[in-house]
Amino acid sequence: MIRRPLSEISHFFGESYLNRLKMFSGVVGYGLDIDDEVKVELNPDRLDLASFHSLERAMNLYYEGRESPLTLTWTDMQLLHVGKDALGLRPFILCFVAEGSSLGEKVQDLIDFQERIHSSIGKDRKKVSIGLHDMDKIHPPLTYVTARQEELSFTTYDGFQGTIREIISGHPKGMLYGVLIGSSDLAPVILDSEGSVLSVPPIVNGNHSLVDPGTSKLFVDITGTDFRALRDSFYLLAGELSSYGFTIAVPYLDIPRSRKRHLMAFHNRSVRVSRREIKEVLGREAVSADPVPALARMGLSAIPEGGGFIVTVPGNRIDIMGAVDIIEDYAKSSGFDAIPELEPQIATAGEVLASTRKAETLRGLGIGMGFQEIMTFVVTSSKHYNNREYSGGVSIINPKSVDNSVIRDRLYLNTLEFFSNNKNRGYPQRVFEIGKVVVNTEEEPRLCFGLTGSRASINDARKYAEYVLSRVSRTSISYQPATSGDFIDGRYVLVSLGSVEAGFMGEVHPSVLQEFDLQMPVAFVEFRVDKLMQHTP
Amino acid sequence: MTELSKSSFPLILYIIIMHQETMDLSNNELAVLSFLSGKHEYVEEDQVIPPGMERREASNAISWLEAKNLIDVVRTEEVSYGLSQEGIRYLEEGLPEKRIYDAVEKYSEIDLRELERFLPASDVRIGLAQLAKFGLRPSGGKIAFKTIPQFQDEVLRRQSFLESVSSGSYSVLEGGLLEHFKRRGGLLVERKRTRRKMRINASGIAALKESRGGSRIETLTPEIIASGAWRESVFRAFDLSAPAEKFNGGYYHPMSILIKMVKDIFTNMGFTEMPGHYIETAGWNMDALFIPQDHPAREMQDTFYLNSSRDTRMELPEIIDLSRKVHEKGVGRYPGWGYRFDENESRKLLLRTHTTVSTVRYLYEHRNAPQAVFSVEKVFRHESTDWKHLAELHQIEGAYYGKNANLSTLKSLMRRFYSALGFKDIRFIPSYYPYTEPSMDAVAVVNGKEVELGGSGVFRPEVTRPIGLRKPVIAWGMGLERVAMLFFGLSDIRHLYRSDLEWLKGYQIKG
Repeated sequence: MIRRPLSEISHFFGESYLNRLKMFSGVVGYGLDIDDEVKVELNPDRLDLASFHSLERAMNLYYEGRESPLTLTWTDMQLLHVGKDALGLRPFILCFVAEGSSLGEKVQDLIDFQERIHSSIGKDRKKVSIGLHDMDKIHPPLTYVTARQEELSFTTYDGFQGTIREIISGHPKGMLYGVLIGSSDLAPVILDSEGSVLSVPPIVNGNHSLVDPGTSKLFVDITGTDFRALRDSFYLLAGELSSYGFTIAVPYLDIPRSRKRHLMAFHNRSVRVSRREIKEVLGREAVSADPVPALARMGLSAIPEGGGFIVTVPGNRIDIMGAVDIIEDYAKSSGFDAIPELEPQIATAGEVLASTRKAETLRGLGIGMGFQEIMTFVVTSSKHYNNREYSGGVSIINPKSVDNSVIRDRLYLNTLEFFSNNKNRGYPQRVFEIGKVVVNTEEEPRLCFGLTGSRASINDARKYAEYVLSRVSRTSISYQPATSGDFIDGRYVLVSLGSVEAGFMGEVHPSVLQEFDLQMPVAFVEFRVDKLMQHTP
Repeated sequence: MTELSKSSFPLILYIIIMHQETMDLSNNELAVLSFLSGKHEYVEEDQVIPPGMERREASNAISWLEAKNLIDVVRTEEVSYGLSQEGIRYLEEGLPEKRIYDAVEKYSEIDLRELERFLPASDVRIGLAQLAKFGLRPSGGKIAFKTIPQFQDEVLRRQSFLESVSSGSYSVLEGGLLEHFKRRGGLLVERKRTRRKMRINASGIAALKESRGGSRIETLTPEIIASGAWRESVFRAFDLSAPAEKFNGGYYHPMSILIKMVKDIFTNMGFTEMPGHYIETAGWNMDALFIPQDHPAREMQDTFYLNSSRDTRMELPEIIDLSRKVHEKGVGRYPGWGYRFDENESRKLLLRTHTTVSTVRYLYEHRNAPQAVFSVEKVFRHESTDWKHLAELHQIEGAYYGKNANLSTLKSLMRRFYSALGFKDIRFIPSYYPYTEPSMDAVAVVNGKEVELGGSGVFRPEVTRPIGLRKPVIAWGMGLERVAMLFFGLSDIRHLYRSDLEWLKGYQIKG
């Protein structure tokens, strides 16, 4: 999310900016909230628009055709010498120089943009970190080398003075990011020709080259562990600075030729889109508007060729991977409202699953017997299993809270909790739930009837159980007394249909009633739906 | 309780009262009227004893007769007193002044701090204040014994007053003791009681005259039917004024109603329900949908990950190699993510975060187009629950795979679906999902406010091509509980699953 006080936005961009921002949200698709503050919630793929300046540039183009393309000049300028040992610690580095009129208030936008890259594609500086420096305060040529952590001492951007080791143990950024350079005694540093420290990537920048509102010429270093993330950051930053009216010059980069080729080829790369693909994605009748001007309004220049177009994509459109991404921009540019709605004429006959039909039958029986249907959470409380064996066979590695930490292996415990939450309601209470449980890592649908009241008993439960059984199965019912810690001895039985165990019923033990703070007797029937209805098609 | 049932309650009462004017009298009411017709003055309520009637029945009948304006009633208010919990304790343990006096008498002199051994600190304070009025005061942090002749008598009087209050037989005239205890505060409870006296009025006499003649049948029994006694009797009219017994019935859970509604809409549109399960592998839930392995949604703070006690074989494990290829190298002219794919990530077990996983696997297993499928199933989010968030919720998922699956047909299907659910003024806006391009959200106007319904899109080629789908796939989804909040007027989404039984038995059924 990008945000700025309303007063700043109106002051800086003028009143019409806000109106456009509202309209443009319908084009690009972002959330907009304007009160004392202007907040824009962008979709995470459009980092190229993640500042009010880059949005302004995009809107100028879309509404007025005012172009300000991202132009990079590749030079032979020998600005930065890269040492092999530094690459051993942090294997990739890219840099560029940006020049324009002094940053002024935009210095905050730039720092926000930098932090946004750190936290998104930078993976909290692990993959990428960025240093911004005032070019007029430093003395080129620069070097990317290593330094001994306990030897090199300097002042950080915020005035902390000490060796790199002291910064790692005492400065907040050092404590956060020190781990990223590993256990080495060395640290990568960028120094100028007089030995001033520009930055210790990915930890902290020096005070010497600090960027301020007066800065008009910037040196930007981008270091990291993932070349693709570096490349994306490189173009995003260049794009952001070019939206401030800065020109971008790239000095000689001391990186392998193949990698450099990839870096340079990513800018203004061509993507081929055929008319057939556009029709396939948007629909046959959607392609009436000419894609060329529509794409131009989105900053994509398209040239008709053969049965389609060759589209040139600027380097900071890192979201564009192929034809479908271009097609979406075309649809956005024309507006989703302009896309006609066509019936797909689906000729297949729809049907529900057998499990849906079975559950529906059982719901009907439950309601017919006067039971209220309830639904409870699948991920239930671990408290239920403090004194109980858990038979699910799966455990949640990262539970969020005690109340939601175990996948239920039976239904009646949740029903007991339901009774407990409703003990100040009228009695008798009769409820049922149909839902899945996990037993020995397998999921199975269950049906649970619960009854409570001064006269609730296993006899009562049996009456309902036999009614349900008689309506869904013709197989003979047999009972087998069993024991369970949750039920009174002699009042807990397994219910079988023929030779198949279909469930159990029982009268809850008073100690369990106490556990759930209940004063009334409770009885349950719990069936395995697939066994109960094994002959139902 | 919903707003509607609150507001409809007074309406029902009003109808009953209007009806009352034309109704005849119950046997009890007749008996009371006839009893009163024999008196010429006002009669106190407890003197109204028609033969064979209980006190409470008579009292009820009097109320109804008054409401029907057949008797004149005069009310007087009477105040009586009882003991509070504290008063009862005084009665049982003794008055604090008495307890201190006794203790001091026994030990001749007691340090004030020691007194708390005999009675609670709050009682000590009260007891000392009372004793001071008899001239027994502490000095130098100690209290020494002194005989106070009138004290014992007074304490006795106070105790017997409390006893008489307790038994309800006290007399207000007892030497200002009532005032004394009222001043002490917290010992007495004041009860107000209204006494009624009544006499029959002219309309009562008329009603009585009119109703004379023969007994009335209250309950029709098999014997009355058989004997033919009903030929000679009058049936007492059904008394609408008496409240009906509350029916203890049951019905669907509100989510069941909605789920069924959604399933009906889908099957009517020609869609087939697909199966699915809670426990999934990251390979199917994430990798197959081209969600990069370092995507934030895959982190521990967004997804529930599981350990399994059984080493279960991965379902359709070929998805690992299919995903590896597209994540690392892309497909066709799409470059992929270009990172090194980690198959251990794919094997991780999790609680499914969406039902799109069911769609992708179903289509992988049913590659012949067209396919129109749906599901309404639970999905899980690693979220704290609050009034509008749940860690598990039902997701609606609809998908169509076919030659003509595109943004135009997607818009048309979604409009049809959401209109059938009752949403109006549906609009489509651009959106973003990692596995669809283009991506689109539907919004509708509900109660004058724009509400986001759900997401949708055309599956990316990186999703469809690796699993062998030659035609496009369109899909849309939405959380159902949010719809339930709108449908059933819920202010807290958790009430669906931690429910009040009264609400479950009382919510307004729609559709």
